[in-house]
Amino acid sequence: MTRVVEIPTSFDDRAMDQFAAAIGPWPAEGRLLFDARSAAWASPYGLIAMLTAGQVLKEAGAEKPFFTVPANADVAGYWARMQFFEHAAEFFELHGKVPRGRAGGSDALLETTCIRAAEDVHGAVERVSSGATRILVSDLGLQSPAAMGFSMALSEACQNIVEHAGTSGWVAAQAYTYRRRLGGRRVVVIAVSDGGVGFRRSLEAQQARKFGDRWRDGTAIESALVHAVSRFRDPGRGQGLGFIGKYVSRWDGKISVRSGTARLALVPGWDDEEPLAEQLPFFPGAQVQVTIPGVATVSA
Amino acid sequence: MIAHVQVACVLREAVRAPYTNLVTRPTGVLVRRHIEATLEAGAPRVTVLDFTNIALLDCSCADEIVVKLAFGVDGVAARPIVLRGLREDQREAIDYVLMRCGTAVTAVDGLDDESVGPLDPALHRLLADALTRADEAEG
Repeated sequence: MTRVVEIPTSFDDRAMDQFAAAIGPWPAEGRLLFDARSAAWASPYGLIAMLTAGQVLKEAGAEKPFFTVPANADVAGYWARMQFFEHAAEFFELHGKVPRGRAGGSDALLETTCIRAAEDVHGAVERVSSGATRILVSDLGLQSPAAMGFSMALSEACQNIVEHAGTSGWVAAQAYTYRRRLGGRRVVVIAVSDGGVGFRRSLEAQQARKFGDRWRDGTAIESALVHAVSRFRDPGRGQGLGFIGKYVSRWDGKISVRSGTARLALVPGWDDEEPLAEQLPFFPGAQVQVTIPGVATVSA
Repeated sequence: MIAHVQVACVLREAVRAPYTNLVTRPTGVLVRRHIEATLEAGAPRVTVLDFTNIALLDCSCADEIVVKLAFGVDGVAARPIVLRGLREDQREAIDYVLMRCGTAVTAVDGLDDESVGPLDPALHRLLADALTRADEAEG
């Protein structure tokens, strides 16, 4: 039996719960069809969430799911330039007209990129560094330390995959305009996703007893993001997420971490998301989004 | 007496790749071990880490290189470290990871450099004199 998973028309971090609910319980039963024909837009977060779902299904030995390409040629073209289909072909049986994506052909800070090892983190940081400085300083009107911090945040977020996920993961970064939020200001976004063990399982051995009945996905994310707890004994570990939190606070940005059935966010004044959401539809691993708003506004 | 370490040179030698970014913990471990091997040979009283030509320094490398060189991998040993050529963002990363040691990067009086770890008054005078002479010789 084939079950259809509707891809959200506008797939960003806010549509993640809808996507997770559409997949249903894990491991997903039967063959899945990811239907993106009606997709009108996807943020880096949405693109790598789809890749994560495909990767987890493959690693679980599920039958290769179908994936229907967006009908809108502009949307499909953007996804191709973000190297989405190049990676997706490994996990999905693609149906529809797949545009060719030329490496480096997008205006993204970083196209969808697989993170397997420390070398991949180096590669991602090298690629994003020059573009981040140009865009954050010239386009968003931020100061140079904000651009350096952006690359550092990317490095720290990607290292969490290598050190904690137990599998490979994905990163992408893009600058775009928030039309509804922030009154049309430009933002830069880093999205990182993996389908690994997630925060709760990663920290369980050290933390579960301390929390007792309260140990769940939300408390695990809070331990890592707010209290810099790590599964390693070395006290120098676990500081990466804390540094990102400090960085986003300084530049009025936002970090949102979703793992399992919970999402915890450090929410700035310009956003209305609840800081903690629990009992969400389950999605494997961990998904992190860092958003830094610019100073400049864009005329419509 | 004073060891000068060009961190960018050590990075190139340690990873055998043209990286200018000090990122990821494995890279930090490699760089620290290279520096430790050099220091063991000379047993200097003060180590100057020069970050000139380093593009990015993340928290993992700040911890592996600066904190663990200054306070030891076990957090017990102590070695005076002078930091040179730091940019604001690099200094912030180091300060952030130093918080767990209850300390921070501090300026070395009379010099543009900054220090981490135990720098008593006698060592401070020795360092200031030696670095001033070295700067004059270069200039």
